Amino acid sequence: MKQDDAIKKALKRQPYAELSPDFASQTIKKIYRIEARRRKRLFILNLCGLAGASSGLIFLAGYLMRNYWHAFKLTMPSLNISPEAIIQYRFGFYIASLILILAITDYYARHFFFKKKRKN
Amino acid sequence: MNHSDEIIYIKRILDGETHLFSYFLSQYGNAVFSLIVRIIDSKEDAEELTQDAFVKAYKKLNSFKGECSFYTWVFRIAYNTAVSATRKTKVILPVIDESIINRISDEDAIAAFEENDNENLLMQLDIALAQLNMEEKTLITLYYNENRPIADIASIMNLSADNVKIKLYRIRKKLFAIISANTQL
Repeated sequence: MKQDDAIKKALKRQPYAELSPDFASQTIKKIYRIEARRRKRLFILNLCGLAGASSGLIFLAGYLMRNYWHAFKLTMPSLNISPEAIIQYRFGFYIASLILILAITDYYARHFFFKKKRKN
Repeated sequence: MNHSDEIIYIKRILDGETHLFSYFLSQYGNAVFSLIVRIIDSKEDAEELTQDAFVKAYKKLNSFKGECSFYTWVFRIAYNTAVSATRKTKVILPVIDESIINRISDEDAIAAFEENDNENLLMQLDIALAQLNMEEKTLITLYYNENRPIADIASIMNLSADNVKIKLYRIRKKLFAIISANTQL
């Protein structure tokens, strides 16, 4: 059947259509998107699995300890702070607040500086 | 790149090197597109279907066991994608009476297409080729244009090798019948 030269020639004469030049890049982009979605789905699935397993373990622990619950007595520890220590704590808190304010100011100053630099 | 190299590439893609899939796109993209564009007759739709076929191939890549070449495998996906797409759109093709096709002898059909310099015959063939259905267009494209062996075509189209041969004989007779009918008019 390979001798059907007329059919071969007629097929070859038909206008040759070519893919657009960006076909490969568009397709690979689409594949990357699919891959990213798949990985995200897998991550969520793993997270759900871990959460389920953790919940199960907590529930199991609670179930196994059901006979001991009545013996539990939760008491908060009492804090005894002397008046001298309160002054020291206040000073420490004051210094920490100052450092925090300075750090926040520095962060925003840098942020605006680089934003302005990028705009220029 | 040979078959075993392609399998290594596929393993690497499955291990996370997604960018390597661009090799298969550049290697087989145009061949798959040229098959689909002959079936669909619309360049834009054919390009979209080619992309769909490759995306499907990527998604199913872990099911590729290497029993056939990647070429055959991706063409099977592309053919099935094109079949699914054409199912939605109804194309009306002229019906050729089966008895007319059956009356044509093998010798007549073989002799008719031996000559390749007859301009009138080539023009008539152009018209006749457009009247073939999707399966027939795929068969002749793969056999005459892509020069694929019968076994590959059978694998792509999910047919037996004997069935492919019979269908190719029938296509030749059908083309002969269409040309005869057109020249008698």
